[in-house]
Amino acid sequence: MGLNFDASSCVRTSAIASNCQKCVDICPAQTIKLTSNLPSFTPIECIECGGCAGVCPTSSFMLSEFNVTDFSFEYFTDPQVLSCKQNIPCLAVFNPEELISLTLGSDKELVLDVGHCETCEIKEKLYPLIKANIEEANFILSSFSFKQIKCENIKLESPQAKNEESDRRNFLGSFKPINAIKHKVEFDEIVNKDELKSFELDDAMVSKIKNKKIPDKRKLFFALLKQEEKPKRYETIDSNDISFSSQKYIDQNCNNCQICYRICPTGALSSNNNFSEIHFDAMLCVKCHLCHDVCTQNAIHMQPSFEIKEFFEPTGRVLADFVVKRCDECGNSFTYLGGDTVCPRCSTEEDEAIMLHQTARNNLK
Amino acid sequence: MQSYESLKEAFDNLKTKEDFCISGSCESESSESLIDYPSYTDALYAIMMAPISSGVYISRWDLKEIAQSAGESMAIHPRKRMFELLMKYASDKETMQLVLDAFTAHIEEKIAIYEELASQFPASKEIFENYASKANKIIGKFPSILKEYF
Repeated sequence: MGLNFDASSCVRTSAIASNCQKCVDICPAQTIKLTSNLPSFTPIECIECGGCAGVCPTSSFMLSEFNVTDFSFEYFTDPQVLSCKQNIPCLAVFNPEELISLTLGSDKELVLDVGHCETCEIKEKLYPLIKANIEEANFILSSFSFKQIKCENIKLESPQAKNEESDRRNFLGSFKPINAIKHKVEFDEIVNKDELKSFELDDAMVSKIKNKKIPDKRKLFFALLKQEEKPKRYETIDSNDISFSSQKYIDQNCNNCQICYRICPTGALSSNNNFSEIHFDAMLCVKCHLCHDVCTQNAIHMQPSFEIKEFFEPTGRVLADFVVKRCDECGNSFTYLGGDTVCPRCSTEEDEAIMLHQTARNNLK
Repeated sequence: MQSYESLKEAFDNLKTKEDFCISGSCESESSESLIDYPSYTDALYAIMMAPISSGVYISRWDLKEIAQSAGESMAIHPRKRMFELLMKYASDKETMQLVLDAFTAHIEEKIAIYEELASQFPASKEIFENYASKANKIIGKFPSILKEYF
């Protein structure tokens, strides 16, 4: 098993102003660090707990041999107790959204074996997170479902490792060309394991950043909610009680600079054809906080409450609307905030031109 | 909880943002259309801007100058967008007359170049005559365009 990082999905790649460092904070092995503004890690130091994958809002971190979405579909067909000793790397690999999905997707009660957590070597950072995730998932579930997640001290143990007796045929088979390539890849991985894996922006990554990507965890969550019966009455919860989505509002300080919806990784924030409105869809928000981090006007805010209705009846809300006019000078559209019908660029250029002429005139004198 | 297959299908079908809308609830796009110019623009664009039918190539800089002659300051955009903006500007008969006059003057300049080339290089006269004839035909259509659409 290894840890993979898709830098193009990371919010830090989209904007240097991003303050997200959830992966750095949660890593119990302290191998995830920020190098040139992006997360980096040393594979040999990684204990593959999946904590970083659990906290990453955009699913940039993933374990190579444990995909939560694939596991969820397997779980739906064969529900079992989730235990770090048997079928999952650690309970921290699931965020509350994924725990809710696992609960909704099966008729059986979701049971988590937390028996080993108390004595786990990495409990200091991960156990409080696991407990908080379960609490949050159960709280949100209680607002629209009777289902709950159950935690039990079962203390399941690892199944006995089977002793694979190598025979002559297997030994000779390992010299086939296809196996030689496999061994070479494995060998390279082992050799490079103690090297710091850092990431840099390249052209391929830049073109990927532009694509809005909705994480699989949100797709599964939405697909499951669509199959759920709608509650008769929708509840409203405190925004602090939900870590994976939010509702927002924009105040009068917004100057429609367009940055928030251009960099929103999932497209939760968007605009209309002529960029005169800012739209928001809470169902697509992953609460990565990027729009807040990049807003130079501090104009975008989290609503203090969150309506559960957004899960069942997603709506695209208009957070702000502006008057867009054509600039008298260049003919391009711009956000008109009053005064002359001249865009900020032309107005700056005019000021600069006046200053240059003045300087030239002074020099001639 | 419905079947595993229907869940998997619903999951696989969630590809774009629009798929997250339930019965159009997310459609907050304003009703304002992108097309802010009249429909005859497309017809005029086809006959005036394609050299195969008009005999002249009208570049983006030409369009900027034409707009300027008709009293409009215009930024450089793709040719089609500039033509659309010009037609949007020519929203009444008087302005359209100014725009067509500017086009006429511009096309006549190009015809003059063709004539000069045809006289200096007689072997190419046949080619330039064909272009000049198409260009003259376009100018001849202007009064009917004005009459038909305004």
